[in-house]
Amino acid sequence: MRKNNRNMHAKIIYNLRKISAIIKFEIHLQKKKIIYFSILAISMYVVIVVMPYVLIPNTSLPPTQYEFYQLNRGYMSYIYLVLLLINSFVFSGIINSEYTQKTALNIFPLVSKFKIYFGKFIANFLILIGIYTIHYLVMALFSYYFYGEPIFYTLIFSFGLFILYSLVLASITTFLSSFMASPISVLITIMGLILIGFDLINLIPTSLGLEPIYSLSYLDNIINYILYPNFSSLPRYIEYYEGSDLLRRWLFPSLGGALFVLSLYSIIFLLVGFILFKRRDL
Amino acid sequence: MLIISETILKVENVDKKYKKFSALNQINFCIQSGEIVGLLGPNGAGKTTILKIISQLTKPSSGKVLIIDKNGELQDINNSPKNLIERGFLIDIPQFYDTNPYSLLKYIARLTNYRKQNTISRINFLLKKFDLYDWKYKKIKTFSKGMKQKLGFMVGIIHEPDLVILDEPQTGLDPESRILMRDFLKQIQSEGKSIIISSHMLNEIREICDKIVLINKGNLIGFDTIDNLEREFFVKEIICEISNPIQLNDVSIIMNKLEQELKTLIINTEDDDKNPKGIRYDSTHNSFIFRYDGSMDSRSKILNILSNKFSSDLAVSSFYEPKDSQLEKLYTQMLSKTK
Repeated sequence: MRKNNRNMHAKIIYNLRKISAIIKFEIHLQKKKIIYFSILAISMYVVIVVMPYVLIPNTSLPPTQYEFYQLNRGYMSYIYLVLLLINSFVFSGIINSEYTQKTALNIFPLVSKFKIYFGKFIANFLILIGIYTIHYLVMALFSYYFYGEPIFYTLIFSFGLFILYSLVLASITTFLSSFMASPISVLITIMGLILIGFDLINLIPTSLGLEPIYSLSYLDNIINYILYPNFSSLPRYIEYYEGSDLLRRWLFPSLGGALFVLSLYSIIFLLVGFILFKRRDL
Repeated sequence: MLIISETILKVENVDKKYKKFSALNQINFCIQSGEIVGLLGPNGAGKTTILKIISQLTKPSSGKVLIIDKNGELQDINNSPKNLIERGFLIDIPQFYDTNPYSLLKYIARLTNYRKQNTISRINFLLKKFDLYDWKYKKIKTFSKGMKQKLGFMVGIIHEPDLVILDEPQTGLDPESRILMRDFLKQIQSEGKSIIISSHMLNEIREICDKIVLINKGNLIGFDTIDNLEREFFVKEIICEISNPIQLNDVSIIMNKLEQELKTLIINTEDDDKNPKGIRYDSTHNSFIFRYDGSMDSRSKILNILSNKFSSDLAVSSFYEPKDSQLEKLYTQMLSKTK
């Protein structure tokens, strides 16, 4: 029994070592991307958000930090779009580049597809978190500079949800990358989904008055609303009449609902992607 | 250390089909520890497919590939094997990540759980051995084809595997590097490692392989030692160089006499370009070439008859087997039999 436990323990360490080697190497390979995308995220932020307040006279700041943050990363704002596109760029070639460039022949079958898939995913996601953290830090610093008051703690919640949302997007991109032929085709598909696809899906349940909890563009709204300290008491929908019909427009999901659906999406897309990757021959 | 003559790889009735196309049909062969086996066949014969199946890069449509584990038992590699012996691979034309040889080799060593304290010295040893030490920290994308090939080979052997699987490792190498690689393969064979190597370079195969597996159009044509196959396909020849000049008019007379005296020892088959007569005269080198069954007994009998009964006609200066050309003949003859 004790021997079995020791063997199990040794096996876990052995596997973790391999995964950590994959993560380290992947980060080593992507270090240029980290630098370029961090510079891109910061410079886009400075040019689009900060510079107008500094350079254009009579441009007034939003009344509070909440509005400032919202404006900074309001849905489909340029900054937000850039961050999502960075996500797509980082993950679009995560699996299929191993096939198109035939680099997979260096590592298979020295290491299992499971370890490669999740090792690479974790490494790239860490890179993404790094880039997003830099962006949020810059945003917080400018907020402090402009308002001269402590940074609101709700920004951390918003950041956490944004990371979870990015995890879903990364999972979808990885899923596409596991069976599509080239990184370019993945990039085009995921950009199409970000720009048009998610909104189209959103239209269907809205017309029925049901909460579109499965829609990513709807789930995304919570990243903004959670910035408000009174988030839990905010109305989640508004009702209005169109003729004699009472209609409901949903504003944002509940925290529990968003966490559950976002986590579920991440797991499903990652696992399906892995199954497809496992079946793919070199 | 593995026990000598233990089967470490067994390919059993392997088929591979891509929709309607059959890439491999009922392939069977095995490799013993410490053996170098050459995989021969024309382009598209199925060599890389076999190596990919052995390397678990693709699965067979049916059949099994068994590899020995560290406890000495054969395990089906496609049935969740555990604790298999270490294997190293060079499949296809190597392509690498955008990094340098040092980082790549260190990464592969980590993935294979190679002893951490030996990793650096092993990397340096290989880089020096294959003249890439000065390129240790240079980007691989700047390397020539031959340098990449050498690096691909190093990736395959960095962790000192017990079974090395190499797909045309000598492609793009200069003669010096080819000799280096050949010597290195012999060296690791002497350490008890087994190697399966596919190549078009018959001389290289002849030099280093104990056995060959010949396939064509997905079918196994032969699997044996080169000597045995040469005997089986009647391509064993012996060259007898003559020091005294022979008049052209006398050649046919001597030939008739030779055929008469050696008729029980010489193998005559159908006369065509690929399979010429049992006795031939090569006027350029002033030598006679005899096709025989390859046994030592027949060989000494031929030499005895030449020395005793033809001493007045022929002054034999040397008597030897034309190694390289025989493998070429064997190769073409075996292929032609399957067409």
